[in-house]
Amino acid sequence: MPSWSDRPLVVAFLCAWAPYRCYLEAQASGALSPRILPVKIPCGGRIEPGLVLSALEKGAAGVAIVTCRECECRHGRGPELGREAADRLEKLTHLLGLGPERFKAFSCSAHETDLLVRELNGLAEAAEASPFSRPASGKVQR
Amino acid sequence: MSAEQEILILGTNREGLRAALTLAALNRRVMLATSTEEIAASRPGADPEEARELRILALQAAFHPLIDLKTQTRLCPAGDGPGLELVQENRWILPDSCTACGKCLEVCPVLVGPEGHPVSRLTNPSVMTIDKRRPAPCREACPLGMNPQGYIALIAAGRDKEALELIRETNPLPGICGRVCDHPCETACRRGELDQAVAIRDLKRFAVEQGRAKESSRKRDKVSSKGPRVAVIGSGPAGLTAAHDLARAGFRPTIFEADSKPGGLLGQGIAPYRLPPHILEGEIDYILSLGVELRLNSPIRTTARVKELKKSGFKAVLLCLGTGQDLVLGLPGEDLEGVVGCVSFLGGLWQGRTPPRLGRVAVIGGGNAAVEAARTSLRFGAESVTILYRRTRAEMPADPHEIAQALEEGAKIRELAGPLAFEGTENSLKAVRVQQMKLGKKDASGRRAPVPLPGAQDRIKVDTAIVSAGQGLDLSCVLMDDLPLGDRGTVSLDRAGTCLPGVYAAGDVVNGPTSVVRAMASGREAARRIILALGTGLELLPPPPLNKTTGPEYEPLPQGLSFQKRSSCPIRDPDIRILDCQEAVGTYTPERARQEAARCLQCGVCSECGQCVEACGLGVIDHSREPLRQEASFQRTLLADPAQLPPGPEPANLLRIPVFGRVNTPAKADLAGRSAALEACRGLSPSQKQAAPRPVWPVVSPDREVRPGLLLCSCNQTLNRDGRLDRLAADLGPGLGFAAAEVLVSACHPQEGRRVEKFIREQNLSGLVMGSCVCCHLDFRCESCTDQRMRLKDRLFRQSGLEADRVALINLKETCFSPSGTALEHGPALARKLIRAGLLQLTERQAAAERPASSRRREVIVAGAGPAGTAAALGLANAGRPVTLVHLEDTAPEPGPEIQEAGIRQVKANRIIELRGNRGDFHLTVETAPGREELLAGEIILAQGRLSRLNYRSPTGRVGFSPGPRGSLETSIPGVYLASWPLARTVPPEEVGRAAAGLALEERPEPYLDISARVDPDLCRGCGECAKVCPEGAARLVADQPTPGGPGPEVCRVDPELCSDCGQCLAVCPTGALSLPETGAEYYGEVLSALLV
Repeated sequence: MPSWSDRPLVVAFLCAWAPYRCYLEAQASGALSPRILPVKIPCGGRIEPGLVLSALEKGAAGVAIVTCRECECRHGRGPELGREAADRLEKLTHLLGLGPERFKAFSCSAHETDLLVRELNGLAEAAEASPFSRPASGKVQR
Repeated sequence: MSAEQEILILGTNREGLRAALTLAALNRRVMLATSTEEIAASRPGADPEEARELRILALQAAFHPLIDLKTQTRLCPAGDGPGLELVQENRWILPDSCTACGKCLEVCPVLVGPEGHPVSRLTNPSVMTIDKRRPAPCREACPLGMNPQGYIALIAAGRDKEALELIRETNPLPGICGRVCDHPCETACRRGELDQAVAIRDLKRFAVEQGRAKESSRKRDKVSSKGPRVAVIGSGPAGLTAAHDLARAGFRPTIFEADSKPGGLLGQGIAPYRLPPHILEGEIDYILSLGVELRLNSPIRTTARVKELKKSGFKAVLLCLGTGQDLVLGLPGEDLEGVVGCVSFLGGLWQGRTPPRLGRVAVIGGGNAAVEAARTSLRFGAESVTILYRRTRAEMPADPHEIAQALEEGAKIRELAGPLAFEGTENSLKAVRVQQMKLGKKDASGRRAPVPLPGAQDRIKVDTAIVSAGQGLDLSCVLMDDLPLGDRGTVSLDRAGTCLPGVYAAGDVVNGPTSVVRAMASGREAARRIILALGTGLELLPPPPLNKTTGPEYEPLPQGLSFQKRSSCPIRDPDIRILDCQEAVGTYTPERARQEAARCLQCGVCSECGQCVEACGLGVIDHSREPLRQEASFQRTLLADPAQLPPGPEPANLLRIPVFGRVNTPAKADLAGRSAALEACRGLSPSQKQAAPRPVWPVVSPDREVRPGLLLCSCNQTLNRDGRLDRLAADLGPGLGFAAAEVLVSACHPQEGRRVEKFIREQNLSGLVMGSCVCCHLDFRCESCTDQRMRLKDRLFRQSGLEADRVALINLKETCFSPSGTALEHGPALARKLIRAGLLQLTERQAAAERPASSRRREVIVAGAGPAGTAAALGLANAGRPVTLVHLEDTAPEPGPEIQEAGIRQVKANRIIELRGNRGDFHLTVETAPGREELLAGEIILAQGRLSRLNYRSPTGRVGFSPGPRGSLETSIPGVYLASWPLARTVPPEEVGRAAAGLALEERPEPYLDISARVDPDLCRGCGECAKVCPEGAARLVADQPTPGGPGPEVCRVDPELCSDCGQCLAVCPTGALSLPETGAEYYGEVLSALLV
């Protein structure tokens, strides 16, 4: 059986406010797939396509962007900007043939841990099944 | 402490927290106090979002350097004076030190309800708490102050050894008390109100029996060989207890026993089938092992002998002489042969004297001694035994179980039979003449008094009569000429508890014949008095009698609880047990004991069994911690929560934070808190900016060797069970190139801060990666933050002064471990990745540039001079801010003198033409009589309703503005506030004005680490995308250095005071000119590399 590190890993860019709180709760409850790697970002609006592409380039099987809900953003337009970046990314991943199913962007409130678990676990499964994801050898397939 | 704070705020609801934060922003020192243990919304029906917002506000307040937030603290009249004092109560768990590791919860044996424990976690603050009520009734009833609830909970949890240790803490004779105690605890047991009292005595015996195997290896208290010598006269329960307590306190007691065997009435008055001799011997041996000397056959009966003892070096003499003399009834024929006293009858037998021929026996009395005499007679060949008692069986003071056993063994009880005379021939007893009684009215003892039935007398033929009419001091044996004696033949004590100088008395000799446990309590009290009088060993003073019946009441008795019969102990067959004197009653099996213990209702909720204290190990928990009192002398008191107001006269300078309408919504609460804060500052002397001293990193040198260190927090060893964190440190330290790696007990505990500093200095480190529960080293408080995280950051970066850019904080606890502390399957591998990323973070940060200076303007413009505008302007001026008050054509009459006195600049204008700029740098153009005037300010308050149609143009070309969400004073432009409340009908305009001023004055405290966005001027092309998205108005376009051909092009500048580090500007910058040391693209690139290796 391959070790944990050899299995496809999914990077989740988590806004430091509601999503990161949900992540900690989810991790504590053991419901989250162990293949999720957290990267905390100060706000959903911080996301730029380069970060996501960088993660895929470095071998992530999937990437998620998780922002707060629009009405709950502490920094004004963060989720809106995050959504705009995600729209661009969806097109980019399609254009570049990176497998759009390996990318997901969504919002959650601080009490929506279940939603976070469902979405991230779903992404982990989809990414693992994707023909574009990294094989066990560790080599990136483009 | 009180001298430091200027303003007290009572209540930590949203109003109180907001007021505290506003005051702190004005550099006022604030004490924020609430009597509750949790900070919760006072508004009924508050939704979860409100609770989360409150949590963040509470964290901001709790860790603001100018705010001292105290929970469980109430204001009350000072004990002996006219003033007020703040009393912090229920300090069993110190919230400032609790790491919330949960070890206390793991070990708590008390179960209340299906899964509830007295220990639980609070959310806000995130610390543990204990539900403690008044002591359980069994504990209150025990003269020794034993803790039955505690040891029963431990027995129920299967922890018999701990149960015995808890019993031993207050009872030096547990084996004896587990058999013969008259258990006042069971009488008080609330379970008895439902079905039957819990069998506390039997459970105690079970714990002792189970723990006996470990007795030999039991930890002995340290014995002093140098303490003062004390003579204890008598080795009964009082003497033994006193000697035990004195020895534990470091004294050298010597017991003088007149008899050849120790134990007093324990040995002579209690039958071996109730108390086997080996139990007594075992308990006495233990007491002697503490350093107590025992001298047998050493009667001390005269004053002269007592004086001799004192001369020979005994600092005190304690008389525990007991009451070994039978009292007589004074009836005719009592001197006949065959009439014996109970004590002399039993004592003679147990000392080995040959019993007389008993024949038909009558025992006169209804106490335990009488029942025991009856049962003993049966064992020594009595043909029949009848207990004659004046009342009925229900009134007999003897233990009902003992009575039942006596009846099983063949004894009979003749109720309502009062002896009149003993009749006999030739000096030999033949019969007892008895008077038939009936029950009359209740007497002083609370029992119905026996009243003779006229003419109803008869004779009972007997051969032996045992009189159990009570006991008294054997005066023939004690010839102390100046010993003051009371009415009942007992020694009288003066108020200090002594009868002669240096001579004390305890036990039955003082109180008359009582029970074993009361005699022991008396011995303990005497030991206390001796220790207090001699003034040594005070730290080991035995606990005083339990008299704290205060505290929240018990839970009501559960309804609908099914009847559960109390478990009985195994008992030998009566026909067999009367053939010998072997112990009649056995002890529980473990299963029966657990079953019986589970019947306990755990009345006091927390049982104070002390398991949590031991498990914590950090000194956070102490069940005996006294309330903390401090004088309350504040210049102002703000009342946020009316429930916090003490009874009696109001504190001076009290200001009530208003409630608008029925209840304050969150927006109104913010408004009320901010407004009250500004109001509270009126008349106070100007505040000074208080810069906190910031020591520096021990070794700071740009070109020194890079020596990173690794510290892993074990969260009070919960993450280090089986040493797995030690192994991780040993593996990752050298593996990832750390100069040193260590495991901390609890990084957030006050003591560990010093250890971190020491580690850095001793290892000469250039940076530190800390794996704990802390996720970031920012000073803002997000949804995920906890008190522990903030405490660690505050301690490291604010108190110890470590430079935050040299510390990388990784949340290992919640990413690599389950809540119970077990490592997740992939935990170690993930920890390795995260720590590697932290190391990169450290390297990245060390190159961080100097923080640029803020160019934020301090001036504030208030547009509109109505009541709201005037109040806002005055509030701002009072806080020391330069204010321009714009009188618009149709607002306000002439300004009052206050405005002029406050030094407020006033401008009269017909209208506002336009507003340009960003927060920190606004340009307001107004039309005045001479023409146009441009006013400059950092913030703007619009205090006129019609201004909501303001003509606004931002530097990036954004036009127009709109009010913020309903009820908010903020607008779509950061730094522009409305002082025209949309729901003004319930809120006075002055309040709105002050609240807007409070909002404009709010500032973040100095951050631990400046991570504001930096601009590379060579890359910036002045496109303004950053300024468009910046939610704080921190990023703005300014003219660059002028060129020979004219003014330079516009480039971006970020004001560090306004930047909230959200990183939105980085995401939109097309040239990569913007960077953030904490969240830049390069940093994330390195983190992703570390994670995805």
